[in-house]
Amino acid sequence: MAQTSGFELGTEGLRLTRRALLVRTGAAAGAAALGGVFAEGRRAFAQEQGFPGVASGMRVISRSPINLETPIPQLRTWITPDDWFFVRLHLPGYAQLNRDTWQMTVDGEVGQPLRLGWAEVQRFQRVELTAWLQCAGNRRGHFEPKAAGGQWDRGAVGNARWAGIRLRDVILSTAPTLKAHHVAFEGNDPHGDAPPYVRSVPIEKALDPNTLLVFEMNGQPLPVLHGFPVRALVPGWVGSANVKWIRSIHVLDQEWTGPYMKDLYRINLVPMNPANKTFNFAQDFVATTVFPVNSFFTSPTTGATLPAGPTVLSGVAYAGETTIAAVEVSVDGGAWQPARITTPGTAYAWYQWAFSATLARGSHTLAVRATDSRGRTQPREALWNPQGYFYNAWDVVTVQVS
Amino acid sequence: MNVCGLPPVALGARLERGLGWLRQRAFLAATTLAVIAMIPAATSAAGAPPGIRYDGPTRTAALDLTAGQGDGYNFNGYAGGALVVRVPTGTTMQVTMHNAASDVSHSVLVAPWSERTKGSGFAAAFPGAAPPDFEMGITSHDPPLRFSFTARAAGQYALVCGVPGHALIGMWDELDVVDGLSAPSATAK
Repeated sequence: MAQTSGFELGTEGLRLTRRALLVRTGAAAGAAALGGVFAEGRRAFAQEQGFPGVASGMRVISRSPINLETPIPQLRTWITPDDWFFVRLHLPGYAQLNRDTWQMTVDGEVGQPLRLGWAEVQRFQRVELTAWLQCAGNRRGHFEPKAAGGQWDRGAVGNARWAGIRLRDVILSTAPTLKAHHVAFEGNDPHGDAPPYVRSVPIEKALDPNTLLVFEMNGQPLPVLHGFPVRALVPGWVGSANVKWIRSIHVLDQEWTGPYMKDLYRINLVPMNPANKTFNFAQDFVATTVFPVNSFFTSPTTGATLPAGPTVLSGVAYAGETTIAAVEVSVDGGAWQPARITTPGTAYAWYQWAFSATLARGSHTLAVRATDSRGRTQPREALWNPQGYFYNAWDVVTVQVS
Repeated sequence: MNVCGLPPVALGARLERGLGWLRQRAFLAATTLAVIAMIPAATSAAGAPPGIRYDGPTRTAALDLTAGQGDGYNFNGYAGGALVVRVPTGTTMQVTMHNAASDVSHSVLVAPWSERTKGSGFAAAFPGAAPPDFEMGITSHDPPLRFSFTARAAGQYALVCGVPGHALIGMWDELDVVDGLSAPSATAK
């Protein structure tokens, strides 16, 4: 990989505002919190939280709905353990279903509507896929100006081994009509007076052989907070499309028109002025779909203190529906230098990378960027959008070497 | 000064906080408060509803809300209409909202009752009944949101979080503007 010009300290791209520092330092402190005290006095990591199937030590974004972020140290393995896998719920409750009585319907623009129980699902061909899953708001806390919503750091992403059946096989068994242009997943989340959780994807993605209805995560039945017994897996796409606790699949002639399509998870395609105060999400924004290329450090974390001399920087890289072509690191604004891939990924599974550096005593600023196989490189600044989706700017951490 | 309805200790503490609040704020500094009614409310599992300070002669009410109690999507622990605020028609309301949550932004505005569960795109029910950046919201790290408006028309309205998706899942409570009401109140439904 050819070296490219580096960046200058103090430029816009490396500007670390107080808020960004707080967020990033918070991430670093998360590691410390596992051992005890959380720095800065921010209550962010719960030691005793009582969420089913969740490791103690997850960062609590909110308790109702349950939104839990994976601490950075738990992202250092290629496979993220399911009890350390981030949890993103939209509604205050979650479904607790009995696999033996659970049923799923398939209706809409189909010739033969279906009702499937657990036994019927098992009759379809079993497939396995390793894939990362990411919340659209991962790294939202890095946006400046601030974007609305949960201020996630880097840990609303994880990489897991999934097993299930192809959505394609299910859809095609219903004899879809020529009007079958979109497929909506409806979750079983208790929703009270609120609309049910529904998100749709275009028929092309629904029929992709890698779009699955999964029932296993890392070799075990799906944990309850990850959608037991069956959830959608739409690899490479916005996390909100990966609907949990599937209740119904609606084959549609148009995109679903509910609030989780028309009000939320929508993004502007061109830069906009953050000074705008109100937005027409239904009219001026489009539904989020495929994630852009991204990478970040898993070691060290911002604020870490390292010994002087040789050290290994490491992290992950991933891109929606494509592979990673290169990962590059820059130290203190120097030239971009190639990192080595330590665990290759796929178009759906993330890559692990490492970079050997020798750091002298003092403060250092480290940056990483990835390029996907279609030649798209992480930008210096992410496209600001009011709901804070798809943050994928270079990841920058500061460390002290003593 | 007529204050009623609170136990002495809580009364003293809350009154002191209320007076301190008043002393600190320029927009009330010029107001002579002839009457401050600390409106108590029934306790509930969600905690006490917010107090309302009310100046009778100027028909000005100050409502302090705390969003994100217990890391939930609520105002003072109340959601889905569980909190009912009632004010006399014509009251000038001075709303202040802090966010207890450090990692989720919230806001508040007064919306038409029929829009209380919208996903996004709220409009204020009265001129000025929303902070300018209600779709962005604030976290606990930010200064509180403040806005002031006159509840000029009787009716049923909603206090909603304007951050997209939050009211949708229940982050709204009730504001009733009532003709002939002698003083405001905030109660748990």
